[in-house]
Amino acid sequence: MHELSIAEALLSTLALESRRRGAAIEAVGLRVGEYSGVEPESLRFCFDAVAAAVLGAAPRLEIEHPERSTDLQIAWIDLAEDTP
Amino acid sequence: MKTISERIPVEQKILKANDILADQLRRRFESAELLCLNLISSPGSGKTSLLERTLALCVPRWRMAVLTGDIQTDLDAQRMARFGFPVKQICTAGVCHLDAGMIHRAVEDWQLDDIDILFIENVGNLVCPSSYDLGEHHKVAVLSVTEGEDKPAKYPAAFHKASCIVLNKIDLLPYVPFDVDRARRCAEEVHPGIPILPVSCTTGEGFEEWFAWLEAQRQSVAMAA
Repeated sequence: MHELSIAEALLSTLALESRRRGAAIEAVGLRVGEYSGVEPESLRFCFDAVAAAVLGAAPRLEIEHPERSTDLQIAWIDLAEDTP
Repeated sequence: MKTISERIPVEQKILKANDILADQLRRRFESAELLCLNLISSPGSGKTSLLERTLALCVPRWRMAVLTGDIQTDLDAQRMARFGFPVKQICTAGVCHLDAGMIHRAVEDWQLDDIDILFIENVGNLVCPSSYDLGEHHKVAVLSVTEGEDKPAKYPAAFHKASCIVLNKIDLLPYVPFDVDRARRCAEEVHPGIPILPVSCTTGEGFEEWFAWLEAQRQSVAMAA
């Protein structure tokens, strides 16, 4: 299955976003459409397996699975911010 | 203290890096007036047989080239090399799909201006290849009558993204319980209006219609260029 390749592509984008914004990523929202060719639960499994190694800690993953959609998108992220 | 930021919209494709490379490839193909097709099916549906017969019969209509992907071996490239067109094996060494980077490297030393139609024969797999844009103009799904007619319902991404279905091995229809109308209904459910081209690579039946479809796609690429 190719969900590990998809998880790696996702993680490299998240690592870039985290560096660029100078904050850890707390949660990430994905849209994985019915016609994207990606199985959400399999992607979650692969993501959780490799995320900690790339990002330090695995962000929480929220996956929407819209019907009849080819979307394979990062929709949003939540950052963890240090406040005084 | 840790707090959570306001939600930040990203709206970016997960496979953005692949898609950028695929768009570059498509532009190169178009400036060479080259039609690129990405063949997707399960193992054993007859992608290589379809290409063999196509290569054998297409002379002098078109100059073809084939990139063929497999997890192991160059057996498919050996089968197709005998027709005298450029053929290159992409051995993925375990990876279940082709990606745009592999295509980019494979066509590096090819003169694209000398090619009319480039076929990419993907790894035999109806799931993973459907997620990756290879710079093709169309995905073509190959389905054979020795499989279940419900394949389009079971693997909706591949059949939704394909521009046509080649229904292969129709010479075997008298001997198998394959229900063509049910296959058509399953395909219509995930991709309304998708053309289905029945062929036999053994008898050559249906190849005129397949060639007519190829010619129509060729012309639209030439017009766009």
